[in-house]
Amino acid sequence: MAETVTVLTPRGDATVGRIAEIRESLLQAFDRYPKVILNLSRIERIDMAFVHLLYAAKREAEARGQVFRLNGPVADEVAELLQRGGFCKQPASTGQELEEALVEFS
Amino acid sequence: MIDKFRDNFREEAAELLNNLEEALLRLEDHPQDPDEISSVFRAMHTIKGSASMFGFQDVSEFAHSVETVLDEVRVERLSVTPELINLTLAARDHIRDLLASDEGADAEQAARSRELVEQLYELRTAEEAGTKETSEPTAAGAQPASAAGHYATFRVQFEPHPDIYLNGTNPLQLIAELHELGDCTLIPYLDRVPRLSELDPERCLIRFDAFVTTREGLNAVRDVFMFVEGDSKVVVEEIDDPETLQEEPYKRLGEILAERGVAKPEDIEAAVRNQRRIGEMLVDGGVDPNYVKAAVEEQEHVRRSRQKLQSEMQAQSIRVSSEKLDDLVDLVGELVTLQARLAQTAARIGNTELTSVVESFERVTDDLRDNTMSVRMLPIGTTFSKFKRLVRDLSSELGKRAEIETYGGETELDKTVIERLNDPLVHIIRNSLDHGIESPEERARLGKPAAGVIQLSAEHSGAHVIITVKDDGAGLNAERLRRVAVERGVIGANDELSDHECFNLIFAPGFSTAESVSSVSGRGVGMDVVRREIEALGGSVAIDSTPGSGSTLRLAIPLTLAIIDGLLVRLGDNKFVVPLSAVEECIELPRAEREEKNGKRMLNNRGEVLPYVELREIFAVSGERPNIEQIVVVHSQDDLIGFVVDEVIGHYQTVIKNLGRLYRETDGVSGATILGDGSVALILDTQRLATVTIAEKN
Repeated sequence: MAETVTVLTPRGDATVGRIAEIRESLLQAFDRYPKVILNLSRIERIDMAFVHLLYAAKREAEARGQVFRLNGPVADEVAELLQRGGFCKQPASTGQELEEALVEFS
Repeated sequence: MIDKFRDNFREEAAELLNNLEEALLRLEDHPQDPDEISSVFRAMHTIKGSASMFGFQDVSEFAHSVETVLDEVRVERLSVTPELINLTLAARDHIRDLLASDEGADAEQAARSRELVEQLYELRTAEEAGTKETSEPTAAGAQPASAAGHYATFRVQFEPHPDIYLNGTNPLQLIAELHELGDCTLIPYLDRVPRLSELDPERCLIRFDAFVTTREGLNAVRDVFMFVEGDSKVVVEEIDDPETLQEEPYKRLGEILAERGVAKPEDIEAAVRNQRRIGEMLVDGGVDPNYVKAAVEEQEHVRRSRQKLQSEMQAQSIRVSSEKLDDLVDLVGELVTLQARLAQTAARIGNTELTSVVESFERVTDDLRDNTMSVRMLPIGTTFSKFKRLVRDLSSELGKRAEIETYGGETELDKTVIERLNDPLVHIIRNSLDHGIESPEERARLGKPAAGVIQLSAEHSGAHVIITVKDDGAGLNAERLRRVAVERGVIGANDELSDHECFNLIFAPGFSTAESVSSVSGRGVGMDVVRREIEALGGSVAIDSTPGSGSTLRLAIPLTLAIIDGLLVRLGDNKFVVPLSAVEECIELPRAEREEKNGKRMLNNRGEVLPYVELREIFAVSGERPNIEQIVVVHSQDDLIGFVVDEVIGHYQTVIKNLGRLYRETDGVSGATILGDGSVALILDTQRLATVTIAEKN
């Protein structure tokens, strides 16, 4: 039976310098698997480019009729930046909570 | 006159010093936090200013030197190190000492001032030598707060240039800086973000609306965007002044949208005419729903900031000396007593008009009593914060590492209770650190984190506050406790004790298991004193422990000492009050049953043996006993014990009066109260009576 899901776990910085690379892996994942999970546990730093990536990936999945999910514990610094930027309706410390908390996400 | 001001200043300074201490301890945990750095700086600055005003020249000069060094920290020329925190804490203690003396600093204190200042300056010189060049302070973050102006709310429309990343700007960082100015709400617009396959990851397409309420002024808000203003679109407008517009309703949705040019005024008018919700109508008419959402958020932000400001203004308080409060409580106590007498008299006279006035009077008296009591209630957190320092200093003295976590600091307790809780809590925490928490090496060996954790929490539970002190240390060793107790003759060699009973041995008088006398515990004050003090407060203490994972002490403390719920009982012609919190049940003791036992003071109460105490004997009450007496069963430590009385009259809320100095040490009586008919009833200290009786029996 073919694999139906894949998990991507970017490590370290998820900032503009590395975002093209993460975008590429995500697109490849969407081509091969109906469900793509982004594990946020190893991400230490983010910036605006990463926020774009999150929403764009969500939209990509919706456009293709696929599933994009978030997973893993979220570093405090990452959660705080998202919250301060007004992207979160409530505090979130895991990927699942983040899906709930992110505006216009779920 | 000036002395009075100096005393006031001392009081204020004590508060400032406490704030300083707390801020320093927080700074130690978050050395990079600019907010903490400025609160430390501000506290020292205020102390300097007020000290000079009230003639404490030596304090002012010393504080000035410390402040100079702290200023270096504030402008990021000096970093926050453990040495800096230690020295500043020492400086704080030194200021406290200096304030205590009326004559100015003596030679020793002056030398100490010089020594501390020298050490602080050395830190600065050392760091300057260590860094080749000092970095420029960053654009907005590190600027000292200018003289605080009045609050205003600003709307910021921020549309970053798509290429904003190219010049190294992170828009999220700018937003973080905006948050530093004050209460801030952000609305991101995500509509331009495409699907991933179409996304150019190096372009910024999200724009924001921000609402920030700050005292820093328009320019401070603009300064945040100073370096991006050329390329990006930044519009900053003042939209509300919560201080002066408090009473006026804020703009309506339509007005906001029209002001922003999102909707045409005529469309809004049409919507109002059609009695439709403006938001829905405009969205139907093609207005971006994000704008409507932002306008709603704007209203919400303004409402919240006005509310916050209002509560801040209301929170202003006045300082009243605690003696005045105590006098007030005494007077209210008298009033409550008089009111009870009045009610009795009115009932006797039976005049309906009088009765109705007396009832209204009773309601007002009750409210007054509750209000007066609530004025004396303080959050226990003020005491908790002192323990942070205690744990910090003690653990370093003992070569251990420990942190204290506090919960429920907002729980309120009568101020007298809080004052009297301090010593027992200090002792318990010392014990936890000394006997409970292991050394870092030992903890590493056991696979525990190097730093032990002491949890201190408070919560309400009925008429009590439960205070828990929990550590993650070694726990109690039941076997060792048993051995020591036998050695010291506290228990017999053949006594069989459950583990829990062994744990309770630590409360036995003269019991101490510390194998070495350290400066921390083992000062001759044992846990028995802790138990006695807690019981003197009308509270109780219980311990639980799991070997290897720590101990938990649980204190149950009555909310107030000034008023208790009691059970009024009669012995001959005398009346007594038994605190209701200790009462388990009331049962009858028929004369036949007493005679049957032939003088043995034991009763079979539903299959359990219940020892009882003859209060008539203790208080030498003469006269004939009634045929059926009553026993008030109270719990004392882990046991039940009965007190034989002639009659239980009923529930009685009572204002406690202290006994005169001559009678204060009387065993078994904790105070007195004046009854409705003007007679006096003694309040029984049931815990003490039980202990004395049990001791005599043994």
